[in-house]
Amino acid sequence: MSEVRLVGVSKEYAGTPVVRDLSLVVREGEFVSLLGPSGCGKTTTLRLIAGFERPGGGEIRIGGQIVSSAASGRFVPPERRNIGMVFQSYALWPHMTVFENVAYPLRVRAGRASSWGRSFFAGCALFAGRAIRKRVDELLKMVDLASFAHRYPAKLSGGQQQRVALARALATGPETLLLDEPFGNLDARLRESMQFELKRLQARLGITVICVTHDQGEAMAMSDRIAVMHRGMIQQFDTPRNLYEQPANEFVAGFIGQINLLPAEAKTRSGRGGSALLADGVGRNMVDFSYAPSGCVAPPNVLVPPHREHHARGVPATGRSGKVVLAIRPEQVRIGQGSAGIPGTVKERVFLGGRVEYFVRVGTLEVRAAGDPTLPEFAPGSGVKLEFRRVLAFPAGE
Amino acid sequence: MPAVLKRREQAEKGLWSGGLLFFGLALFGSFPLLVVIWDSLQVEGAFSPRNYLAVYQRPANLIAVVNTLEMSALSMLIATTLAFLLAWLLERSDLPGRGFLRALFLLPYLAPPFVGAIAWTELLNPRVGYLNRLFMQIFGLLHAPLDIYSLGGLVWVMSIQEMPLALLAISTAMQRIDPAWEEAARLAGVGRLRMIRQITLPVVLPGVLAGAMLVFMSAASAFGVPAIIGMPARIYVVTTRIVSYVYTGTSQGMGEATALAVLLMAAGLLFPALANRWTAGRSNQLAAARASRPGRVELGRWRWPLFFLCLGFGMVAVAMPLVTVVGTSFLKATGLPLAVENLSLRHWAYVFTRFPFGLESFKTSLLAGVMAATLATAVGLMISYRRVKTHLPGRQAADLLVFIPFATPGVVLALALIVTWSGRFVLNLYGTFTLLVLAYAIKYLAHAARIVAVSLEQIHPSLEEAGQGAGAGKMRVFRDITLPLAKSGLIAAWFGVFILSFYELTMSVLLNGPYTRAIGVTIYELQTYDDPQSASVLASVVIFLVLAASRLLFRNRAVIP
Repeated sequence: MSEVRLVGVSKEYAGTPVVRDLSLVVREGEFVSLLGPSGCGKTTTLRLIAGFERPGGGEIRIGGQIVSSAASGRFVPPERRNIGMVFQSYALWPHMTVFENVAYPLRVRAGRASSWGRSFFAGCALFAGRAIRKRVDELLKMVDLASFAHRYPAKLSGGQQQRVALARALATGPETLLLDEPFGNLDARLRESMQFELKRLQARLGITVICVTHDQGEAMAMSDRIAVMHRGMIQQFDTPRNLYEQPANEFVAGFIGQINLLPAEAKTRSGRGGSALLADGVGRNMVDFSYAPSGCVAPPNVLVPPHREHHARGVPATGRSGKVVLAIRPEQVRIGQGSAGIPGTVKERVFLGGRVEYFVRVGTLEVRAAGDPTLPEFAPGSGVKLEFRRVLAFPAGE
Repeated sequence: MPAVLKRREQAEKGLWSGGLLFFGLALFGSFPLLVVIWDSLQVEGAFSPRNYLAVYQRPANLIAVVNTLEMSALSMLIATTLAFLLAWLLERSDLPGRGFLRALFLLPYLAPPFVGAIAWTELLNPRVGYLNRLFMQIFGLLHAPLDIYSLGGLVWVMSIQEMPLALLAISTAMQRIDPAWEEAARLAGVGRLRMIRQITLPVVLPGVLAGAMLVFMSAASAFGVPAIIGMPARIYVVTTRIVSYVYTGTSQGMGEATALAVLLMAAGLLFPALANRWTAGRSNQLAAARASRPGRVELGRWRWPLFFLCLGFGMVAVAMPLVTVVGTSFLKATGLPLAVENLSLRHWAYVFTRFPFGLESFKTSLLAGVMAATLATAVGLMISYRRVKTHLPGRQAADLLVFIPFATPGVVLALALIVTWSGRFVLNLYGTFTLLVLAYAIKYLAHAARIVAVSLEQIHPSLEEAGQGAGAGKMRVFRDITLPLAKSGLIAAWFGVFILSFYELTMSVLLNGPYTRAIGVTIYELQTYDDPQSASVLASVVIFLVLAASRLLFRNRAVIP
């Protein structure tokens, strides 16, 4: 019942488009993150869903009901959307205690109910008061803050404030929960434990969650699916694993995880791949590649589930000139000293705890490669051979 | 574009309430000023420059203009220089007792200027002034060495009264110096003096100039001090000339009063506009004010001598006048030394029982202050809310409508209200309590609106959005979240307007009616009718009330303008 559906939504501020023709369907009970660099439009998208902004075009439905529509002018104000939201700053009201903060949404709702039958509900007010108290106690217990009920927010730590904000957002039992950079103000250790806690809670309550974040680790850890945004458009909407292994375009490839993006020129092509000449100044290093899953740049934002159907395979992954960008994860680069592979020189060796990574100079290019833990390490300056295992190609010049 | 249509629809709702608000503001704030300009150009129903010719050909008026310039410029120089030195000591050095000294030097800002003037006449009166007698005794002089009734006396009292204005402006600028800027300069190999010249001074210069400008305009539009000190010495300034013209009551007198008023009004409105333009690009480069102040300059062995110098100056300039006024009110007769056998409650009893205007004018001012404060705070809240929290159109127009009556000298605004609302446009409010309240409210609305706006700006929008997210509508969010969070600002605004209205003199002198005699007017008249002791009684009442109100204000941790 609480599917969130955006169709062709756009928004501009003073003539500058912030969200462009964006479509997105979040299924009921799904945890979806909007991920992207700052200024990509993800927060605006969340505020459009919450109803703090009116779309300039398109339509938004929550649970099948139209809540914003530019065409018909229909607009449900935020207070009627039955959504919970955790703000980046938590937005706890400083003049109310923890208890009052969490109770407020319940009191507002009780007040609204009683307005259509004042005399009858005068008697119910007492009952409502007791019910509210019980519900708030329950919520505070859920976020492990029962003993803090009568403190003011200023007396709480960041993590505690965050949990109050969560309890308040869930107070009326909304079917949709919106999170705006919810862990941005917490330190790394606390952030991780809160992430798992939230994920468990979401699974238990079965609510739909839409989370805005610029932290890909956070998005990967919590989300069922992630919408990667850039310049007001969704670049790819997919599971964390698919985003990592099959990025739809150069932006997604570069944004998610570490990756080598190497310029090359496609020479031969078959149905699903081909081979290309590295533009490394050497001029004789050929690399085999396969096309990115979407074939070309993903059609902007038409991402309706099931999510991969529209990916037209087999479209040539090259620009007019045949120039491509090859995308290779460091762990897909095999570094050794055998006879096969592309010759290079180790420029730098970086110890990263669990593994060693090398920066290898190949002609004018630099390739990042994860070392094989079973092999002895290579010293800077030593000559090595590189083999590329999984190589994706994107058209150059985006 | 549908988005545009939506916005227009939304705006229309706000326009009705806003339109009504603007209409009321314009009617009692800006429209009367236009009427004054119109009137100044009219002689017997026809356009004529004769008022201006008559006014500016009269030597007495030219002398008044020169006096005004001279008094304002000299007070500006003295007050700004003193304020700069004090601000530096208080904000940038490790002077001991900074909190106490700061409060001491800001005290004249809270007390009405005419109380200071009365005090200094009691101290430096050529016949019976306490200080003069002291000097005569010590140095064995036959004549009083100092005479308060002179241009020098006028400038001295004015400088002390206006100094807090400059001190606040310059202190604010100094607080915004990021110590890192100075430290970076030192690291770049710049010496201490060169650092002050090339880093510190350029940064605070806009603040210093803004403070100086405030002092100049405030001095030029002051009435109380020039009336109490200047008039007995036959030193007239523009404001006192306007008031005497109005008191003649003839149509020619009114015509010439308007011609003088237009000059003062033009200065009041153009001066800040020019200064704003000049400082606009500079002031916003300042860092945000900081709570902690690392990197204070160490005064070393000058620390304590400078402290006692400041303390002594504060005692003489600020504390002594207030003590004098209160002390005089308890003396049997003026000029007697402050000794136990000379004390009596005679004058207090007289003022509050037999003197017909004592208690009455106290009540009038109290009530007018309460009503004006309530009105100004309510309207200020409406205007500030529209400006800070909505995107409704006409916000700049509202700012202008609030700013114009604020920047207009009180004498001119009062004259304009009389000229306009004495039955010429349906309403006749001349001499009524209503007009008094309206005058106070409109004059100090800017003050209230600014304080309220600051407290509204501090409420992060997400706090209100969270309320909407909790299911509360706009009105309920306003009531449950915005209003409680803005409470301290509203209280500060209310008390600010109340204090200013309670002891207001400049406008009250002109808006004086049989049932609307403000306490300031009664004090002023007692003083000029040579009953300084009864004047001191009422002035003491004002001092006590102001101190009590400001204590309440500080306890609420409110914003001091």
